[in-house]
Amino acid sequence: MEKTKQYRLSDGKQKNMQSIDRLSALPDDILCHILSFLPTKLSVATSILSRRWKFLWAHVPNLDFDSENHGRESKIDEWSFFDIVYRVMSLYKVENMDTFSLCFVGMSQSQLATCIYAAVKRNVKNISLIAPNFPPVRLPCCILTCKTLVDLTLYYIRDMPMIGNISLPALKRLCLDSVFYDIDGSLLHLLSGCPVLEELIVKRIYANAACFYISSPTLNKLMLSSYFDNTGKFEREAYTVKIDTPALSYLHVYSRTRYEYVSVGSLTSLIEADVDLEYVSPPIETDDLLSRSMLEFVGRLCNVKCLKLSIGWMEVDEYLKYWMEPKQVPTCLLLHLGTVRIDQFGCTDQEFDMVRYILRNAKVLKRMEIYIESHGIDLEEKFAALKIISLFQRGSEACELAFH
Amino acid sequence: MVTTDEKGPLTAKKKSVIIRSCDGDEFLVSESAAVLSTSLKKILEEKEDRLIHLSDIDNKTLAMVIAYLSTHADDGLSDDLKRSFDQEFVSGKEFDVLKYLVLATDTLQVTCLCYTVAKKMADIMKNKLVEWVRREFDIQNDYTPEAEAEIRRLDAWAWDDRQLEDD
Repeated sequence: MEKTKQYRLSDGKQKNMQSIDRLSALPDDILCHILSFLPTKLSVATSILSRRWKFLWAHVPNLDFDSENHGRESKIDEWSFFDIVYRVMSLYKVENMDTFSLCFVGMSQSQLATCIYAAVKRNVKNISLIAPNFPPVRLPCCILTCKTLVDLTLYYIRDMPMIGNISLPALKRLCLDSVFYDIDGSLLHLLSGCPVLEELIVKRIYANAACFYISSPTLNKLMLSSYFDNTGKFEREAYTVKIDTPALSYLHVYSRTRYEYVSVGSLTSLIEADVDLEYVSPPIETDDLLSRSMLEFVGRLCNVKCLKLSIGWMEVDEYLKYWMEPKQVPTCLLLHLGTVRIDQFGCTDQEFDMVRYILRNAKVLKRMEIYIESHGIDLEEKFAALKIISLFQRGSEACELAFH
Repeated sequence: MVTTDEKGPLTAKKKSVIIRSCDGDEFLVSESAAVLSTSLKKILEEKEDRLIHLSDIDNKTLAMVIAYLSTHADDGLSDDLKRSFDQEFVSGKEFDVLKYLVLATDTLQVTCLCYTVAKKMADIMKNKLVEWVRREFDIQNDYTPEAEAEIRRLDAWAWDDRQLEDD
């Protein structure tokens, strides 16, 4: 163990003198580092401090614009949001910038393209484009051939290109939130131009397509969190997400729609899966397809060591009446699965069957955590459930049971 | 290299280094903690001597940095615990203390802590008045009134709300 010696308190006055000496020497790069955490508006405002600070902001590696920060008075002074971004970009001195964040409403398509182009010319590594405009803005093409881009976040963007050159040779992380896909293969086309992609996040799919493909040989982390907008004009009956990602090690599927089927290819590298499905009310005619596609999906999780499973609470019976034992025990249960967590346990017979099955067949299970549904189950029922489950036969003697 | 406890009684005792602050106080630190600082790591690779003298870091700041390094070198702590330690570490510290820390972590090249401290300083600067920032950073306003007015005119958009405005 380390022992730190007690320090003596030095003389207060002397200390103050020293502090002034040292801090007047606080170097520009540290000041720029501090400014890089501020919105660009505030970092530009520091130019008023002194002559030394006049253009310090122009050397900060990040630019972060949010049209929300530019309130009513800027309109009186006739500064449009685009004018501001344009002025900052024209005074900006950094040649290899880190991050360009733009969150805006009310900029035209060509103004947006101008701003993004300026960042791409400065070898930007991270772009975050948040554009809650209606109708949504189109993706500026120059992003798609940015050689230096490592991390790209897009929110509320339309017109993912189906054809055309896509070359993102450095892109490692891609986050697509509320992006509008017109044609089946547009995401596939985008991914084909990302040879080193490691992490993909897809949230809220707006699609005029029946099938949604995700394919990447390098991807190791995928988060698919889709609640399909079926209230607006993009309404569809059902759609399928096809995943072909052989190098995947982490998968999170979160679905809040009854219309989504997930179909997966090989998942032999997968070691952690978090599956959270809530089918609010499965229509009768799709139930069968749904449960079959789920079974197939879970059957693919052959090397998973950690599985978190969460099932819907509104129609638990509806969903779980389709729980049936797989013909063959999945490999992940037998050989790898160490932890299982079950959320929203509703104490139905089908759920008991499922828990019994997992406990019996999981040979190396160390811990099973069961979280009881918070509504409608009293303490007595909870104890009864605990009693039943603790008597189930266990394939792994070392398995602990935690009840919450 | 760091020796691990499982290797047996002979190598079980962890190697240590002594770090001396500019005001002469000495701190005994495990080598596994010291090498989390890129600068200290380089020094240790180059010289046999287990005593490192830091001529520009005072004892209070050094004690804080060493507490951080020791926590992060502790294999028994989870990443989550280390993250919450980091948050706790900067919360409630005076701006002045953070300035010494950011300078020290920059000198010692402790990237993660430098990031956390700089971010905390930026958070504190938000919603502060110009005079506050000048005082805390010890900045002499060397603009003429005319020059200052000109800057305000050219980038009027940057001062259109309560952030960083005049008293």
